[in-house]
Amino acid sequence: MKYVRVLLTLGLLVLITGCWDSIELNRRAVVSGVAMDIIPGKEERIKATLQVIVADEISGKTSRGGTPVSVYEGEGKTIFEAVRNTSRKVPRYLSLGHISAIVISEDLARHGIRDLLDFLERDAQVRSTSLVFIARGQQASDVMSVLTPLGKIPSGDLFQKADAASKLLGYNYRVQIDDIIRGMQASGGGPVINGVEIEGNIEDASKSTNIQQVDTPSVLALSGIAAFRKDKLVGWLDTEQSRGVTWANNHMKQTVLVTGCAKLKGNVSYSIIRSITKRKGDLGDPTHPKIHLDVRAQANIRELDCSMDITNADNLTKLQHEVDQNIQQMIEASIKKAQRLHTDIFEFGDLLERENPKMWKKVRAQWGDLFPVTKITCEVHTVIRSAEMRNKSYHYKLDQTK
Amino acid sequence: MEKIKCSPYQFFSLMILFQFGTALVVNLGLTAGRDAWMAILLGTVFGLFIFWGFSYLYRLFPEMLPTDYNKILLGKVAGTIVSMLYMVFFIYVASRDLRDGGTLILSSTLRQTPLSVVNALMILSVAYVLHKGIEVLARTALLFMVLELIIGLFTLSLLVFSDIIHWERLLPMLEDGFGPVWKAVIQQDYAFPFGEVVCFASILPFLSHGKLGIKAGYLSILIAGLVLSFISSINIAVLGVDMASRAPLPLMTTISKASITEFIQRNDILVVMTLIIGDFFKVAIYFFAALIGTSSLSGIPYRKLIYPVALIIWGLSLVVAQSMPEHLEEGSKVLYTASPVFFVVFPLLLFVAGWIYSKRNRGKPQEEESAGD
Repeated sequence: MKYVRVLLTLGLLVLITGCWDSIELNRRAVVSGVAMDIIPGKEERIKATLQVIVADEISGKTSRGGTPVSVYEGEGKTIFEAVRNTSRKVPRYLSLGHISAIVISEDLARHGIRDLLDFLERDAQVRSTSLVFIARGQQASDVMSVLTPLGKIPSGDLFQKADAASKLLGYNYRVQIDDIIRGMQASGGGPVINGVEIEGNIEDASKSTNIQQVDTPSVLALSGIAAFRKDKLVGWLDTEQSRGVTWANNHMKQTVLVTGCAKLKGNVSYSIIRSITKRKGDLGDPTHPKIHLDVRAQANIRELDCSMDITNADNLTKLQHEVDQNIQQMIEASIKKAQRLHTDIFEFGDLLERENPKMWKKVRAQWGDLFPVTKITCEVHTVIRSAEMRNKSYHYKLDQTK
Repeated sequence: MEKIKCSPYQFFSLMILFQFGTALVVNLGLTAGRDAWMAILLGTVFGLFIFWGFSYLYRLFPEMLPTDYNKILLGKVAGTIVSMLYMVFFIYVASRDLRDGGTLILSSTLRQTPLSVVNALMILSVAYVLHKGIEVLARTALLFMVLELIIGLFTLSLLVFSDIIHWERLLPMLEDGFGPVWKAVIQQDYAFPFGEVVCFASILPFLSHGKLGIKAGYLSILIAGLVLSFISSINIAVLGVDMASRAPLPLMTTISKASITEFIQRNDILVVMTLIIGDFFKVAIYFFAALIGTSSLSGIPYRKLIYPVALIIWGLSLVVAQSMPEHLEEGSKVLYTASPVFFVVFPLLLFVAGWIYSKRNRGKPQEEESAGD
């Protein structure tokens, strides 16, 4: 009888030899970025480019003089098949848990992204916090192959660029996979995705010579916002318009603004330090929906290149008025562009649904047509908080003397 | 029957962990869409009612197991049949919960590992703890409740500080009227997890301080309901109602979105821990209720029954369904047909019978003789 117990215990030892799913770290290929391109042809296929981290190069000690990342391509009918196909070339098990950037080519985006996201959403390993980008006018696989001087892993560099730009320039905001899915499901609208492009020579971007010079020849730069209608890219918004979008969607954190100096000659530069946008919708009349945006911003004067005397409160009010107008123009420009593109990228549909659910039910199906004719008004109130370490500018004296 | 004493704190932890069980991480009440939290709160009311009923029976028959007072209230034959049906039901639900835990672990973390291995490990741990006695289970519950409290607070602060909660996603409320909410309650929320406190009727006799223990029970149902409803609304606020209802484990997706300064990321593991702990206690309580009832009906000391029943639960968990969707479908079918019987009909029957009994024996002192073994 006691032999049975011994045998059973020995049998249990089999269970602790290590779990089925464990793969040693040096048998894993850590993927830091994925790029998706479309391969045109009779039957459309997807090309997936995986940016894999080469651990030896990162640590520096065992460096062989190669690049810190390596890209591998695979093709397939769907994105999952394409990713799995890269294992013909990658010598290790793919580990998708560290993807920080996902780049989709513009061609693929115009074709439609609805089939690309289910895999990313469903996979248990893929991070929900990865950022998505559209390669503007270029191949996503090229974007994935650019070497960057400041960050060893280019995808991480891209991720941090997007993060920094969203916090400092307000030019864009972080778009994650589930934001895109929610955007696609919004009635009459679509998601917005940041654009990225290689400025400079595309071929040399992937060579290590790219980062061996002080003046990096090829740089990854964020470039505008792509507006989608449902799942297809329909247009790009740049500079003023993209900031307008950020403002209208209440994602504005900080940005820079240059205005004229009221009636005087010269420019004033502000740093917007805080901004809140309140949105109200009015669906009383279902054929004439109205939306009102109320922006409250706070700004600091960072450059006063004119002789305005800002110790005078009235002058400050004049400057505030300038800023208000400037912001209003940006927001209105972005709204006009979106209306022209027939896509509600501001989630105004959801806003109206919350305000007036009963009326929204009747209007929901036609929102795509109603949005372009919706009256959207905007009111901005800026308060200038401080002017850093000086009040009047030296221009004041300069303009007095000859 | 052993005189095991379960302190009110331990009882509270047992009940809370049991109710959190798998309900914390699964999409509860999301058939009601955005108003899931309302459906859950209504379910809480139902849970309180059932617990009140069983505490009433407990006061009528302190120290007596449900299997025993069933016989008194419904007559020997009917009582035994009802008890046996409950035992079978408990074993079935235990195996379903075991499978739930195993499958959810498989689909989220361990992909290649066979289900039988994961389930076997789980049921063996449960069996081991039960072998040591319910006291041990209760003490372990206290420990794990503190752990879950810490995890809960941590993840809550993560979510708040990550700036991903958008409360406006919960609006508009009652968009389609109260209908969907009511439907959700009837289809799911009254039973899961609140109706399931039925099996705590088997544990009530072991309370060390009856009155305090009962109060602890009520408190636990209330708190569990509030927390579950809150979690459900957070899931919707972070993910949006569509994504939350499409995910089998919405809390996992919610947590994985929480990241603070890119450093504290990928906290899904906390959710997996919560799931494993909760599922463990659910299986353990159902297992125990089945054991104790069977042992009192058959006269075999319950320790001898542990391994056979464990084997049955394990085997059942593997054959109950072939795939995850089938498992869920069967779950909703079972919930729809069997749970009204076990969570509503039988308890009501027992409460009414108990009331009649108390009226008939009014004036007589409380039931002195313990009819159990």
